[in-house]
Amino acid sequence: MFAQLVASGLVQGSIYAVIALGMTVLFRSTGVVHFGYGAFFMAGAFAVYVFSQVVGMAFVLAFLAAVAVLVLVGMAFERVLVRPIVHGPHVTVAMMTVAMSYLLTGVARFFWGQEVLRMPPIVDVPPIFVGSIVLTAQDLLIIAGCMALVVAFFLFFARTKLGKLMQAASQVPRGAALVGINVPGFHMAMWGVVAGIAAVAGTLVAPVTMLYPDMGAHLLIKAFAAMTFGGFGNLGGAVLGGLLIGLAEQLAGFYISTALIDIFAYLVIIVVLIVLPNGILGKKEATRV
Amino acid sequence: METNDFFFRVEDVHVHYGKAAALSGVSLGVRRSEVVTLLGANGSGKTTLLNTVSGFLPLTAGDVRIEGRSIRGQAPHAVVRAGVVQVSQYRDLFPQLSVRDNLVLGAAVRGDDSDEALEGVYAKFPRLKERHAQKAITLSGGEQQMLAIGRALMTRPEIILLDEPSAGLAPMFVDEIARIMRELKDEGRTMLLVEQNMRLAMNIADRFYILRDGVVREEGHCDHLRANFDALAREHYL
Amino acid sequence: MKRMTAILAAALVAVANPAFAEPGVGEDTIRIGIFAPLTGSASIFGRAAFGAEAVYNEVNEKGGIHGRKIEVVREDDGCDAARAISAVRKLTAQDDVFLIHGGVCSGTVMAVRDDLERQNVPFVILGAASAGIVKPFKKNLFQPIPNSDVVATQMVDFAMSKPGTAKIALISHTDEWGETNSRVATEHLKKAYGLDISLKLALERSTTDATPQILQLRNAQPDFVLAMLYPAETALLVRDAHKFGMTTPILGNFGVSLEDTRDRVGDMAAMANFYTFYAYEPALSSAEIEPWTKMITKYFPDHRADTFSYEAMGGALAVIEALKQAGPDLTRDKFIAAMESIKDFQSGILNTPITFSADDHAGVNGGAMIAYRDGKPTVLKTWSE
Repeated sequence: MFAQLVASGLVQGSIYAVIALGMTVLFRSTGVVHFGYGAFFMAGAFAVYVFSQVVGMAFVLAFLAAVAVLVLVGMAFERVLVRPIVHGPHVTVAMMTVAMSYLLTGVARFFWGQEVLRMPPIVDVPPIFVGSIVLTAQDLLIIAGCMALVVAFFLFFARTKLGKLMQAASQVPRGAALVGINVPGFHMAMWGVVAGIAAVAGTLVAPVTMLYPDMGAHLLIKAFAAMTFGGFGNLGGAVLGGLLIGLAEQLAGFYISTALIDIFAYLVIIVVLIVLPNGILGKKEATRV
Repeated sequence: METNDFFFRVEDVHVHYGKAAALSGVSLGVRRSEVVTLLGANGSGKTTLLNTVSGFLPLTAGDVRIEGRSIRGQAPHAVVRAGVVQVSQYRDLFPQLSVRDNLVLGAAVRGDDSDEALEGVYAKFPRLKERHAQKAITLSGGEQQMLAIGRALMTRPEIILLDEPSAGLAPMFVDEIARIMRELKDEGRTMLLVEQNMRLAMNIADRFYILRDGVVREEGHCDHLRANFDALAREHYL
Repeated sequence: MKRMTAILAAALVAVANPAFAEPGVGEDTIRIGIFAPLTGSASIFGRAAFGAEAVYNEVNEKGGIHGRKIEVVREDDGCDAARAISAVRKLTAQDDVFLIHGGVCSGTVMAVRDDLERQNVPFVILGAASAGIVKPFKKNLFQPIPNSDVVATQMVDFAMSKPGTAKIALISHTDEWGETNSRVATEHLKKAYGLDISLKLALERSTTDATPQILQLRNAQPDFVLAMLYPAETALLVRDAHKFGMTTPILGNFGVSLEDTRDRVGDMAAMANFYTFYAYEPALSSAEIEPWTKMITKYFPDHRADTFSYEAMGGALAVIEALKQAGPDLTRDKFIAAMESIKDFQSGILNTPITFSADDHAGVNGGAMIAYRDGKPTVLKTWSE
């Protein structure tokens, strides 16, 4: 029983982790807290649906097309909606991301307001039994896909020159410009990258959750909880926070009460902010928001 | 003065902060391998001029040229790519990255991040080599200034704009910075040096401009500056 | 000039003719206002509007009622209370309708019902199933569909109709809707069978995983699971139950359609132990329901009929019956009296007859369940059927 809960918790937690990762990457590289990221995730899932189910592309092609579309959407949003106001107060940009969320959700509602769409699983095989644990192939794909993304971004930020540059550009934009980095261009690229992450996450999760225009809102809260738990702006913290919240929801739901599952994320936000304002992995510097 | 051999030139530049004029028609030039110092009291417009050249501030009129090419209105990164590199007053280092990473990132877009280039900077600043793995934020003010200059050198600049490199440093470091400036001059680097410290500036520079209220009030060879030091200082700094 | 005269004459007749003073009733028309969520996430329930409108169109084609044709004015409320209020104001003030056949979301009904009561506009519920709508009693308001109390009771009765049922678990949303349904079911189980709910679980809206719930259910081994859940979460429960090999029958609520659940779950094998409340006589996709579907698609060729499309057709037929009984000198009071006189009205589409009385306007007092048997939707009144 416990093992099953841990396994399911890891699946849920991976989803939270990857959404939290995307938001953290954007925050780290541009300083923007993206309240519309749940809608990006939704848009990614719908894009895969449109390419695979409506256009009829093969799944891999549909996936690549969806990622490409989301990258372009992310970049276009940065260029058209964020860049003109980026020198304004943080709250202006934050409100703009809220507006993006409504914009994307509104578009999705316009076309698919009527129904909940089902995305067929990426691989259609019967569930796998590991001892007493049941896992679907989709579960394994989610864990593998999310972990691959997480590792890729860790290596990128910690090991590559470009990754270091991106962090540098976010921390000291003027300093980055003084070594010749096109900071606005960088920001645009990062918006594209995180929108691409959202598309990957949407693709992995859609067969599990089904598609509806508001599907991202729920995850956004979990991602915020994960980020807060792990230390806002800390990549490892966001991932660890996501996994722990996923696990805790399952264990608390089974051993204490199923009514706890949904309020757990809010409890985490409240408790962590009061007791451990920098999160479990946060350092002092991570709090400059 | 013969001016058609200027390699870098600022032509009749006007800058406004809102309605107030910060620069009202500043023109100056730097020849290749020349060190020119821009002097003036606080608020005379020196830093404004550097930030305008670097693309951080928009100019309302005038032009900035390097080797005849206009870089007017270009974004900061484009100015750097054209070879005009500023070492700012705030140094603008990457505080969480190591000394080495700061230097390597200096050559991210322009220049050379080879080990030789890095060793070249370390040779000039042995202190940086000692502290190569330390985060930039842990360095002293003087060390940070060295790192900022070192990072600028990594871009292989055509011209370095130095904004008050001695500001706020302990006397020991001021001497060190002066030594480095002289070394860079001897290497044939082209520099535009903004300084409050007139003595430091006139001992390194070939020529000078004095800015007051956004206008060039005085210019000439540093010999002239040395000869009339007290009078010029009184006239333009008080 | 001739035309001008004709228009003037028509205007004079309209002003001077006192015989049809009742709002919405003309010499040869009766205007009915419909409001429902036609767009947005609740619009799958809003499909009921098209079924009702098709019934009205059909009666028009057969000559109308006492020489009058029904004119339908349709408004979209998006399941939003504020929009419903302005839609209803438009219908009563501008379109001057005789009666309103509308309301799919309980919240929109609650927002407009007092206003309609004050104006004495007959208000026939289109699809909103909350039992709270007819409590407290309102003279002008009729609910010709099984309401939430009826549904919860039917779910319990169905479970208990299986010989040997002793343990019933309940899983519910923690919102007002879920709690009310749970309370009614719990009380009915106690009162009628002397049993307590053996395990009560929560499943929140928008949840994407039901592992803890299914594992608890698997441990507790109840005979039935009553699911007081919305469609998406019901599908999630059914899917995860199948994933973890749980074979306990799951009973779904009224708002959950069998076909929609199958589409969402995407796996017929997972549907084997799923039953959901069903209000109609003919089974979905059966030959018997075909005439009803055709009636809708005749007027709305693009309409993709599913469970909720038929929801208001019985009510529309009851409205027509009452209009007939109210006679040619139609007034709102006469219509309300005629509605209250409807007894055991067999609509042909609802599986339970409609009955109203002077003090009870909850018109449908029973229902059935539907499940897949050999891949076909089958209506079951009791377990053993």
